[in-house]
Amino acid sequence: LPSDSDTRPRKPRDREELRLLWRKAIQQQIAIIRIQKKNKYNGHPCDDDDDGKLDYEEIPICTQEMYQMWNDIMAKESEGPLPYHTLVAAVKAGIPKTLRGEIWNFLRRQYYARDKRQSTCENSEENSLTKLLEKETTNHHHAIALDLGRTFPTHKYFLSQVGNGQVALRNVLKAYALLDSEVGYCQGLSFVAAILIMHMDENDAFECFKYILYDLHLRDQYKPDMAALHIQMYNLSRLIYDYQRDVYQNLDQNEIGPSLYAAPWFLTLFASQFPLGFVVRVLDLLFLDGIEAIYKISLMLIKHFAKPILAAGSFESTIDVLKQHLPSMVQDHLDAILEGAASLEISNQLKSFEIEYHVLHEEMLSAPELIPSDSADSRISQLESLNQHLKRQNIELVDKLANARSKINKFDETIELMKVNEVKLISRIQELQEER
Amino acid sequence: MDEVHTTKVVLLGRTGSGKTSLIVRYISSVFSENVKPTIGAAFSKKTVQLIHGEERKQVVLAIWDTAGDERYESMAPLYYRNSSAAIICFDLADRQSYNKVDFWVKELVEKVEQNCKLYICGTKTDLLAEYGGPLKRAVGPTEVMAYAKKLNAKFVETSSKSNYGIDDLFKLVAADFAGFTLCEAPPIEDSLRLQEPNQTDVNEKSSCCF
Repeated sequence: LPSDSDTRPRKPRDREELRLLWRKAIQQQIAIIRIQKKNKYNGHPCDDDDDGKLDYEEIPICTQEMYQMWNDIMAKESEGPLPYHTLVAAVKAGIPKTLRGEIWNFLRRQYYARDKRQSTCENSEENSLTKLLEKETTNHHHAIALDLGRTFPTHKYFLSQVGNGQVALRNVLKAYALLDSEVGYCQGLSFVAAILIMHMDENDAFECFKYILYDLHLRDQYKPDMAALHIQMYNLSRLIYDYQRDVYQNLDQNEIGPSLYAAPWFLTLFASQFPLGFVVRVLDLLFLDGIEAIYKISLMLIKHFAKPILAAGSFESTIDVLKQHLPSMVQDHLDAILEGAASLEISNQLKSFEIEYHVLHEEMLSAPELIPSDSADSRISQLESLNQHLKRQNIELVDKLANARSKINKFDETIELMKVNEVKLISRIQELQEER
Repeated sequence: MDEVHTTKVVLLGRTGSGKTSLIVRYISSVFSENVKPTIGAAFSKKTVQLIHGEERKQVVLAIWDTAGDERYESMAPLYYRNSSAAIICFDLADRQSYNKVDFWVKELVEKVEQNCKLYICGTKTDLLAEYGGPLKRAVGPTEVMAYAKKLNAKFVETSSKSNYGIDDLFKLVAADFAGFTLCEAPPIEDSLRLQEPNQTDVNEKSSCCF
């Protein structure tokens, strides 16, 4: 059996070391037998629920009506795609956790059916979990193995190294690394996969995983350069600027950009820090709205907790509120946050922010590059020319700003004029009506 | 009244090198075998009291714990920017983990953070045979000390499991920052002895200023 310690130079092993290796080998063997057994029963999952898969606090607590509502909705699936607003209303009302896995898969099928879309990841036999797992091992093996026991380390289903939870998690992550060689494995993915595995068997979980990463485009943020994540962080800061100006200014003064607190919100869909009852509600929305759901929830979190953020004061205390207090307080405000998020409309803004980001980025790149140099003189002259360039750029930007300001002023004047006209016209209408 | 200073400390190192465990032990005094991998970065703070004779200082350590996954390296500058100290961790029983130390040193020293003090921290001593654990050292202490000396960095060894060397490490960071020169921080050779269990004399020596 391959061992992680193989990279070290071989020296004679002592008893204790051998014992450790043996124990590891036995555990791996048990795991392999389990995988083989599971694969044999493929398509007929025999998951019993007493292994604590759904061990989280459900908000809101599910009611009989909720069950009925979802069963009615899902019964209509064969009649064609359901109206989007029906699904939004139902998701807002809540999902019983025992039905959640089924409903997520249902929402995924609705996504394809709604606009007659095809999955961006080819839906062939080759790309199924079973086929992929038959392939060779991946070079992400070590990184995946290291995170299996560290993903939800206190959750009952993922406790045991040879338990169903960790085995399924390994299968899904390994198969994905083989499928998507560009992304492979990236820390953060294990949380997303684990949430899915809590709610469905590993084959369905893999399909949902592909759906989230390929069709909802979340895979971009895990690519090696993480360029998409940087854009997402920019977009979020712009949303905060537009919707929560005072919070934005406060964070800006403390030099707190979203990268300092919101990266795990996107990369783990809140799962690494927030209570599971909240995370699954985020995923409910994600299955409907894609990555926009994460922006909306993030923005609503900032809005809802604006008071403590503004009151925090120093850099350290503000970070503390954002990273520690927020996850612990969120449970009690879930409904308001989800309600607010569902009513936001931000897709156009997101599009223009992204263009903005690229423009800014290009401007930064167009500055002459500093070439490392030994001589102090040439370094000084390089810095001087860079400084000149930045000054020019600054002047241009000030110019643009002035232009924009004068335009705004003109528009303001026009608005004033129109208001005056409006008043005149209203009174004229009244006069005419009185005459009649 | 005590003087209060805040300083930024960043933890860097390969995935699984024990950065988060180190912080969790230091802040919450607990250890668990499995801690969640850090995504992006985590933040915590703790106040260190420094006393020497009449002189008293308080140093607030604002500590950033970073992700070990190599993919997050493009984000690292956001977290180590303006740090006055960097603790670069490696697993004493894992050569690959040690090899990563040099990457972070270069990143910090050559690229930007010239005023950042470096601490190289070998973690998980409890796993080493010489402390009764099952594994062998992957890198000899002389090699690390020579490397640290070359960089003018300090080398310490810790165990988050047996709570060993951790408070000393952060006190060292705080004392260096506050410029507590009256009681010189242990020289590199001593800093290793400091970590050996039952060597209370060294700890007593340092307690004069901490």
